[in-house]
Amino acid sequence: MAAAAAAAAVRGRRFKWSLDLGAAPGGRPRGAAEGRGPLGFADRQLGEGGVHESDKILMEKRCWDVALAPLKQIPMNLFIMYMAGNTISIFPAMMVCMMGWRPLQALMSLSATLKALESSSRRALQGLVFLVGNGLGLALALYKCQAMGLLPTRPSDWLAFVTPPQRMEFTGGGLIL
Amino acid sequence: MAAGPGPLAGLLFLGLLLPLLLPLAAAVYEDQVGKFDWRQQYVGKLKFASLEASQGSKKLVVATEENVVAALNSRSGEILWRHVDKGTAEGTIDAMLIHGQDAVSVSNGGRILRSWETNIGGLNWETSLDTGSFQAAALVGLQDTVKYVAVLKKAALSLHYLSNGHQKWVEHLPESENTQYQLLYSHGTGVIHVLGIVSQSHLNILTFSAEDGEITKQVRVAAPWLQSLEHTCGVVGEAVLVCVDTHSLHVCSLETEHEMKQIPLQSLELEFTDDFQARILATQPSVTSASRTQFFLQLSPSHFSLLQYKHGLLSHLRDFQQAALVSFATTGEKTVAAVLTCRSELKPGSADGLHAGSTLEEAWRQDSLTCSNQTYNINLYLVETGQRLLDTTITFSLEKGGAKPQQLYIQVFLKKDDSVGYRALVQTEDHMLIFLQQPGKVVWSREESLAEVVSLEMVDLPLTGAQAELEGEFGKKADGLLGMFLKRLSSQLILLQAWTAHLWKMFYDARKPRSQIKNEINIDNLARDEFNLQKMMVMVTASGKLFGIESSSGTILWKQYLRNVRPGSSFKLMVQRTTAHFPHPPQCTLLVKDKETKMSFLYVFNPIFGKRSQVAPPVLKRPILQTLLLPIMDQDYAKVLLLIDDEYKVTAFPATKNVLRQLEEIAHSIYFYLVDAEQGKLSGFRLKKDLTTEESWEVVIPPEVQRIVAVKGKRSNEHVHSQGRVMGDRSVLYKSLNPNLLAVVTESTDTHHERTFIGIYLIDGVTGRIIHSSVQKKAKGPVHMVHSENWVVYQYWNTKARRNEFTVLELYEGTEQYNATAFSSLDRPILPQVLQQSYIFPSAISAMEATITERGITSRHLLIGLPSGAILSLPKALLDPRRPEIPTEQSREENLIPYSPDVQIHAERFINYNQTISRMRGIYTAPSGLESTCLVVVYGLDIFQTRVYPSKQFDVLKDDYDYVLISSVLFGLVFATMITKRLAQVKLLNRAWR
Repeated sequence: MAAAAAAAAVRGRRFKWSLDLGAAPGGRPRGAAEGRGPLGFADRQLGEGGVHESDKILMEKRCWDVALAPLKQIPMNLFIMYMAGNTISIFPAMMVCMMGWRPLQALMSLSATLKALESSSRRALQGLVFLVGNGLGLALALYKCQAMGLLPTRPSDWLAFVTPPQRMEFTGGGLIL
Repeated sequence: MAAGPGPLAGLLFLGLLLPLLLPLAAAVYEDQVGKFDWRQQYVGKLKFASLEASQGSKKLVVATEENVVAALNSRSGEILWRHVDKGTAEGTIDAMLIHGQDAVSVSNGGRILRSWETNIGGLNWETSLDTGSFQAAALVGLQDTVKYVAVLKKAALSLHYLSNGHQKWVEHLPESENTQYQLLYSHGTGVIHVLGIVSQSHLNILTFSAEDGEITKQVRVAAPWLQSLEHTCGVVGEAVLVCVDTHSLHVCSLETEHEMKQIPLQSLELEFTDDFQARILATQPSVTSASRTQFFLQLSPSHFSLLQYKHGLLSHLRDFQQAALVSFATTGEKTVAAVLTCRSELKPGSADGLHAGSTLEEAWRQDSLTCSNQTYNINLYLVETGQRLLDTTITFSLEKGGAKPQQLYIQVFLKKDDSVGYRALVQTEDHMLIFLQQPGKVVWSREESLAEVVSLEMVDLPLTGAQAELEGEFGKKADGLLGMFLKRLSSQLILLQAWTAHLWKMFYDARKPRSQIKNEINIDNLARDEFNLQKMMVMVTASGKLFGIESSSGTILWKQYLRNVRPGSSFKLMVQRTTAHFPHPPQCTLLVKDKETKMSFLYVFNPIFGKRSQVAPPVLKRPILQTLLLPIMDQDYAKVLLLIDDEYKVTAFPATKNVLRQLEEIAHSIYFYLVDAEQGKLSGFRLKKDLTTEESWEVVIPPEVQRIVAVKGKRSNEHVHSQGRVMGDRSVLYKSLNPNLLAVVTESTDTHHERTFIGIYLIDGVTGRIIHSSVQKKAKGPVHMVHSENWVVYQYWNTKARRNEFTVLELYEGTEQYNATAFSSLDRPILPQVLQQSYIFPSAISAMEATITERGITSRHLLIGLPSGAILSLPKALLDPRRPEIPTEQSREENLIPYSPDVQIHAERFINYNQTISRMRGIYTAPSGLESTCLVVVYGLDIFQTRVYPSKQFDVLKDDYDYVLISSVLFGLVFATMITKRLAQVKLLNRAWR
């Protein structure tokens, strides 16, 4: 093991870099055109095959990550929801707002996300998954709002707008004067 | 288990805390006292008055029909002290006698004798007497000192010490079954004469010894022409009885003679008028000396004669024609007669009566003599000679078309130069007291009829001139583009002018010290304020006098006396047109119905200025049973008033074609209900197109078992903002808001405490359907009730538990509304749910009313007048039948207070702090322009006006709101933002350069 390490060090030392102090000042390095080139210059062409394949997989994976992110958030959200409780106070309200706002924001920037997914081959599916995930997040936020009583879904919420019924008869009178 | 007591304790704590927190809403800060409220105190119509006979005296002691004994400051007319007795017959003051610093009053039909210290109003002593109807009381003197007070009852005469009220003796009167003992006389000789009469037969003259009560003499004098001693007889000189017959005077000495001597009046060249019972007015300056030999003889309502009977000789001193009132007064040795005469001629009735065509007026005309220009003179005459005293004329005028003087009291004093000076207290028919000084200066006046307010309405004040100008722009017909434009320009100019004037006034006032700025309110500068908190109170009093009182200060701005209103009439005041319809003036209509003749008339007037309206009201030929003010208007924006008469025919006022057409259209939806308490009958009538009615329903409550005591509908101007209540589970319990609902309260005729009961019926006024009825056993009246929104609160006496109780009824439709758009009583298949709860109240109450606000958003309070004179503002939330006995999660969600049977009286909830209101009779509430604020007027013997804020002042910044702090913080923040912005820019620039 020690021998192998030493060999690597020697090879590294040989190839890492060298500076030719004998080169004529002012002009271009003489051998640049032949083969030395600037630092980090690789003379041969980079191979297409193997590297390209692994990148594609990576790309796909990345796209899937983007698409699945909202779905992955849901268990966490559920946990927060459970912990926050149903009372209306500043922190649960803020949480619910964030929970609702994030999917909304994501949905609003849907086109940008889709552009990011453009490179993926299963773009449609990923888009759909992303959509569904955000939709679920939104639904969850709405459910939370409902549970907290923030949604005007009951008749009591519209009571203030109920107009008094119109009177059809007029009566008057009283004890005989 | 450990968690168990936690929430429960918290709940208990909450339950305790909530009622404790609520009273804060009603309390007044010290510096707010008198800022929004005022109180006026009254004594009522005078029965007895005594003015001290000295120039420097400061008080006059009065006893009134309202059972009040009081002393008034004679310089200002303010009340120095006042004692209010019971308002019932038990408190009636029968007589008041003044001796030195003591006032002796006999009250409760001669049962109670009291002596008051007149300087501070303290009670010297009080003693109760035996039963027996009271006849007369007199002070009895013995050799220059007044030591006793004698009280004459139907069958007994008793003598009491003036110093301590102890009884010296009581003697039974002989033949008291058929003899009416009416007169009591003594003149310091140690004997008391009691005169009794057997009608149209003879006089019984008893003479008692003041020392031991022994009857020393008993004489029977034949007098077959005599019916009553009151007014027709008087004692003059040394105990000489003078009586007047239709044609002659009869004279008899009480001590020596046994027969009446007849003196025909023709011998004095005096003429009697027919159908007038002549009267005699004698005077006794001091009870220890003999009466004056001079006396007044009233021959006709306006004809008096001053006569003298001396040494068996009758002489005529002076004749007074055109005299309205006469009075005697004495100072030192001088006795004078004061005569009040009309400056012009007195004449019966007046052609310029307030309304024509009323038969009432005809009936009333006979015994009314009016002075055409309402200017009167008072003159003093020396009684010995009948000579007029020079420079003793007081001339004063009363309002045109007003009341005539009714009582005259004179305060005479000797001036430094030994001449006679005097002041006069005049009480007019409309219970106004005027205190006059020579030569006719009104020192003060008091409107005592305000002690008997019977009806009250609050009317919005008119807009200011500038506002009215703007309003008028829309009221008139368009006259071209240019015309309208010019009009707009001119009105804007007027606004600018008003604004600059306002600014100038502010600037001018700011330089003056604050105490000098007076915002005097008079009829010319009346204008509505920004929030309509200042209104005109139109008050109708039992005497028939109307008042317009400005509500923020209590200033009387106008008064109008209706001369032909007899006492005991019933009144109904209605506002037909408010001030909202400029340029049409506001219009109020008063219906007056006479109790005896049953005839009624309408009086239409402008409530802001008190002027009689030009609109001619219909002549009512038949007695009116009830009225109905419809929400429909004629083209002049006057609401239509329907009057139903005893033939069940309807008269409309105003009765223009437009109105009749509208009435024809909606006649099918107009219903009347009439409640006849005597027959126990409730009946409903439907209006037909030809303005006749047909009976549509009838409910009979047998009057042998129970009698109807109160009927209450809902207030027509009431707005209910919320149509239901939100429950703990967020569903809605809809209120049953039936505008036609009547609450009828009955009391049992059987008043035995085991069998007595009260009944409550909720009846639909259109269909006669009984929606709810309940009988509360072992309960007794008087019942006070408030009916509003979907609830009825009533208070009664529980005879079993011996306590006052409240019961609240609330009506709900349930969680579904049957018809959310229209309410028709004819289409209500489902009866409402009735919830009920009762509470113990620690006090009796004398009046009750609910607060009312503009839009009905503010929570309601009940204003409860207590007999102690306080007004309690009780949140309606405390009287809520949904208060749970065991609080649950849901009830807590609803903020329901857990049920506790007793409602407590917290002194912080008194809206009148220490300004007690005596003998409260009613509470009137009116909405203001601010939703949070409700105006309250309480009337009884006193009048009190204030504002209440049932939900605190949520729409008003507090008085102590720190404008300076808030604005400085605001400016500071803006400034800080600007600076930091600049700093941030500099910093960024520096960083970029680095």
